[in-house]
Amino acid sequence: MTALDRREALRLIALGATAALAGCDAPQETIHPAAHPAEGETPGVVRRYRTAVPFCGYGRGVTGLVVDGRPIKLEGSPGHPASLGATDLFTEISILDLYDPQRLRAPVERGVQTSWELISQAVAAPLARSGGDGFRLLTGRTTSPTLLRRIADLKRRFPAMRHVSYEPFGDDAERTGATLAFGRPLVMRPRLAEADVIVALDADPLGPGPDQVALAHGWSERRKAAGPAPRLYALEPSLTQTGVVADRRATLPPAAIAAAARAIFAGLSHDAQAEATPPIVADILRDLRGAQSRAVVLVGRAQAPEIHAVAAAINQRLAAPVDWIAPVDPETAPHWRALRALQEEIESGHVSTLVMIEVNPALHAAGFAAALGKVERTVAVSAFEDETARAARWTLPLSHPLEAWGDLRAPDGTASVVQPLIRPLYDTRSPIEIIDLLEGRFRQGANYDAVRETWRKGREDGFEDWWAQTLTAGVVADSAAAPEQPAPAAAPPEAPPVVRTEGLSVRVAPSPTLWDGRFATNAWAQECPDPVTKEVWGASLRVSKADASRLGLADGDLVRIGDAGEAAVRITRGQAEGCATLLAGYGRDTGGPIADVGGANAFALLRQGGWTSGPITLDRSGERRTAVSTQATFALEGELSRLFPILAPGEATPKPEALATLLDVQPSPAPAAWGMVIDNSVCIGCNACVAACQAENNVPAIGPDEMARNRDMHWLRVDFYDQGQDEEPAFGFEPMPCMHCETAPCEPVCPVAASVHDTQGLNVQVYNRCVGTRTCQANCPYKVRRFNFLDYAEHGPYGGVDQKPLRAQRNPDVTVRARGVMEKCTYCVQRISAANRVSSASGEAIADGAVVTACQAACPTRAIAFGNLKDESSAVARLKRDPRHFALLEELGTRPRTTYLARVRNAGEKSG
Amino acid sequence: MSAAARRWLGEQVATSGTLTDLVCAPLDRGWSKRWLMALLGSLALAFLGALAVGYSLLEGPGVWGNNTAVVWGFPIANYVWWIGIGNAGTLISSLLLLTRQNWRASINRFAEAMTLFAVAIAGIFPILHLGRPMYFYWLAPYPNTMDLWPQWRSALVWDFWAILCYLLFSVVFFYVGLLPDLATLRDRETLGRGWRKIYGVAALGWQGSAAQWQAHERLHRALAVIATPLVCSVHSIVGLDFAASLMPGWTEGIFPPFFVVGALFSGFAMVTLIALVIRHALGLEAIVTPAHFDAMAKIMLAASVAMGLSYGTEWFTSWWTGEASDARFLRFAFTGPYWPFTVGMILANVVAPQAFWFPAARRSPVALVSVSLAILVGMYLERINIIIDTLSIGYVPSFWKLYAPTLVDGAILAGTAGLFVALMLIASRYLPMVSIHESRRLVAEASR
Repeated sequence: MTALDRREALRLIALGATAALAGCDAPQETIHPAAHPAEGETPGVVRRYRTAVPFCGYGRGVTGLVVDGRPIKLEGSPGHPASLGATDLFTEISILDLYDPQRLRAPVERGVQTSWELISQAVAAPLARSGGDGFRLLTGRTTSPTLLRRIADLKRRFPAMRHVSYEPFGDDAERTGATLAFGRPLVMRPRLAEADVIVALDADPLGPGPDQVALAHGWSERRKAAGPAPRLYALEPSLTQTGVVADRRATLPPAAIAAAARAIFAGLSHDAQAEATPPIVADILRDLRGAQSRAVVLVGRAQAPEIHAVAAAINQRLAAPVDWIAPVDPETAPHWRALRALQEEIESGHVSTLVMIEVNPALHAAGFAAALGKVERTVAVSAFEDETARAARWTLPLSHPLEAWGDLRAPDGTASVVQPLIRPLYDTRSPIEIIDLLEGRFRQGANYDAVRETWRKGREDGFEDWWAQTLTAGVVADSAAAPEQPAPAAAPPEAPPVVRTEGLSVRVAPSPTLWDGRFATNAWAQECPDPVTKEVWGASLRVSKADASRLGLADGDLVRIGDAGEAAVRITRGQAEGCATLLAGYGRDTGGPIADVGGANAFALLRQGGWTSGPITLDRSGERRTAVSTQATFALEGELSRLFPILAPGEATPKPEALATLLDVQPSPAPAAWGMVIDNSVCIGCNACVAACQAENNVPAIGPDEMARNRDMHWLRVDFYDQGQDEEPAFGFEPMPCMHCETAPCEPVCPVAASVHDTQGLNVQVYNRCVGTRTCQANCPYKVRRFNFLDYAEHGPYGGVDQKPLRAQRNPDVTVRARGVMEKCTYCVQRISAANRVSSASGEAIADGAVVTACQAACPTRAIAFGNLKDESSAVARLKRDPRHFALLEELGTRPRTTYLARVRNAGEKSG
Repeated sequence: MSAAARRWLGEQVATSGTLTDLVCAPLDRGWSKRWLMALLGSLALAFLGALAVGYSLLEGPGVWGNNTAVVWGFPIANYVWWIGIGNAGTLISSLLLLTRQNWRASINRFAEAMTLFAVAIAGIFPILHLGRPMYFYWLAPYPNTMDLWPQWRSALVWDFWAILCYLLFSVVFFYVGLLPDLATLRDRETLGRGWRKIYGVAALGWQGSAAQWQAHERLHRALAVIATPLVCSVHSIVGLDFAASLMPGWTEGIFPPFFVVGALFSGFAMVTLIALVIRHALGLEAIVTPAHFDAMAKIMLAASVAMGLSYGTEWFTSWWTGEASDARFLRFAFTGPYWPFTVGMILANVVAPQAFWFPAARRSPVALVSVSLAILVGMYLERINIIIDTLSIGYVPSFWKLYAPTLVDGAILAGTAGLFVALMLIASRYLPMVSIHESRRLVAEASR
């Protein structure tokens, strides 16, 4: 063999280098190389930016966590009134939408890729020629000052154009009701933190919605405050999150709730004992009279406007803690009526150009997709393929809110400037840029200039300072709508007598995970369990036991529900007789692997308006389908009160005697003993923590098939309990992260010491040591460990779609787990490590509150406390001394570090 | 003495020569059509299992029915079941050798072969069931740069050693017992030259001198002395895999002895089944006699009573503790969705063997086959019940999940059966299925 000479060696090295280069995948994303960091930017360090993301047109303040140019997680924005530092499920999952591999990446004309230039010629040019005759712009609720200004510009340019906006789950009934009461559409904003008594009539203030975080926060503030125990009444046809946490709950059909509202009004006005039907009304009246200005009545969107007017009158009489504000969005026409009018207009052939931005009327309005055929030019602007995009001629890809400048108003009117955290990943445009396109122009940086132009007005002096301050704060100072003092409400009109319909009607409710279906493309949303049924990747038709036995239905029977399609039946506790419940957002036909999970499209049942269908027949298909659920239903005997204690106000949990032990358990020498206390009393089961954990800790979605095999990967689950008897259920939520037991049963059974305690006293899982015997999970009494049965991280439920873009979302501080490895909640150890690094560099101890776990940060009710138990003054140590404190399965001697405060249920005395 | 020995031999076995001819006849005859068909059939089944194993290794444990609550399933049940089967051979050879039960000479060879193959098959599963099987050796204390040792408190580490010791020991014990017979085959002119050379090498120069016999005898007995506690330890430790835990239904002090008895029970059932087949197929009616079956049936009967007692003790203590979780476990076993398995297990393991109280049943091939098969199925049900009853309903009801095996699980189990049968078939053609040198002693005693 001849010796390798220098030239040959160099040749080989060069060859190897080229081979290595050719083997690399250039990321499709715009990334910032660490070799040339921007000035002041340290690679790998998390930077935080305040911005806002839209939901139902309203802004929710967020703090974007950005690492090396990639936003990886959204957290709350403390100064924003719709966030108050917390998030909801829809905010948490928004980051996945940014990197979702199913995103539309280029404009498409009837399935064929086209270019923005061609679209401009095809759409904008005819508009310019015709002066906008027959031009309609359809959007969701629009609160963005800049977008509204630009739409107004568009209207000036095309006077014949009309702008229609609609939200499927909007507040038509509230606003119409307020119009009945006050002569103008005011919006009621309850201050739940001041309410001793809350009466929710068919309302779900703690359930999903643009105001969930603020309402839940206010409610929990009152719950936690000292003073007389507050009471929440829920009268509802179907169990909601509000119903779960209510102190008193009555299952009533919608008409009976309307009657109850009128009975409350009558009882308060005549100051006499009203005819108490149902009996709970007498108790409500007693408490309302007692609390007066510290009581509030809330009515849900599914009740008629007249009932909202009744509630307005009640609240005025009580001097309830509510603010009335003028609507934040100027489009005051009831949304559904506007949409139906548009559909009629289309069907009569008066519309020649229809531009639909971020709306899906083809899903929500029956016959809309077919009607689109009558429009010459239909443009759907959407981030994902959906029914409307499939029916439209052109589909234009929409930028993610984190990709473009903009502005948004919160439900209370507070404005935020939306700053992008990343350049658009694909050839997409924002709604503001779409308006530019319709005007026949486009240029880079249009969003930025348009937003600044909007806000510069009246602030020309010192605008740059104002701009920087506003972006840093995340909100425009003093931009909230001023509360108005409406004149006394008119006497509520008598409603037409309710026509008693025999048979089963179906109530359509927004899905707590998919809302109206707009999050159906999001795998985290699909895999997030429904708070009550714990169903994932689908939703059953909820039917009361009485109806089921009357109709001869059993759990899992597949039925055809009118025109809506097929869904499985689920016999559900707390469901009113004669009223079934179907969640919206299913029965999709988008052609995508995530959204099309089957089920029934609830909107097809609502031809007559309102949220309760007329009598519906359920046709049994003869087939059975077991809904995929993360928690099965069991009847238990006598153990529930230990797993999920429910206390009366002032009561304490029984303190068990110290267990005898032969173990010599020494307190760890580490300066910190991390612990967590979860207050069951204020947990509303909203799943924000579940999704926050998923985003923070690179927890993959595994898809409906794997979920059906019971291989849920969520590190944190929210258990749902029902401790009541048949007549009166007593529900509650109990979040279950890892307990971080001090004497953890998972540790001694691991043959390779992959499950160990670290020097900080955490029970940690060493992924690269794990060989996957699964013995630890077998021996875990809490069953909080999760196993990678397949390569979930790289093979998600995206079918044939290349899911590489998802990698960009991953938290670089958290290992992506391989197949065959056990994983579990780490107490966000990466955040603890970060705090430790800061502490060891500065020499100062970690302050209480310096480490915030992802679930804790997300929680809108601050139910989760985390901190150092060795610090006696820490919040978590204080809560450990609370009389309501208990440890789960304490009798096993596991000494869990995660413990609970028992739920308090202030049921009070029952009359009648 | 002679009459006692005669009980265990047929009339036609009069001399050492006839005995040797009888035992070696299948080796002399070579392949038969029936044998070849059986071999191909079992190899096909084994191939199916190999495909399923390959698929599992390629895709991951997700192709099985295991879920996040019932993290163990068929692979662990297969392991416990097969290692139980592997109990009987060594026990027969060692315990019966030490207690001077000469009749064992007729059955110990194939029982030991069975042990070897069953333990080898069982040994696959602790590795195969791992999430990352390529790192199984991390359970061994090998020197590594990370200074990491296994975690000695884990029963799984004990188990690793128990299986390894048992497998190595079984090989040595089998081979030592085989040595004089290999020499017999080497010297047998009816066999081909090539084969005789191979046997000759394997016989390690055995000459049959008195010194060799004495050394052999001493070694064999010494090994038997080691074997008996080993048989107990391996199954005790398998029991500890479950018992050294916190879960209701597993934290049972009775598990180690209970597992030993269960193993002996299923092992004898398998030996009986194999004895019946071999006796018939290889024409060994004169060597494996009804008296042998009678003896084995008595052992099975005794074991079944012990099993019944163990079940009773386990359930009684579960009820008697008054612990909610234990009571719930008990309720679940009898009224939960798996109740047919519990009932099936009792019928097969406790009720069916009671037939052996009747001498006629102990000698009837039909009864022996039926009861042995019932015991084998019943013991599999017991293994799977132990795993899924406990894991399906843990302490927290929100995480109760049921288990259902997949086709891959079934294919792997079927494949192990195919592999086992194939190995036994191959052994039956190339090794004497009865220990010639030990049976000669029986013949000598009988003719005395």
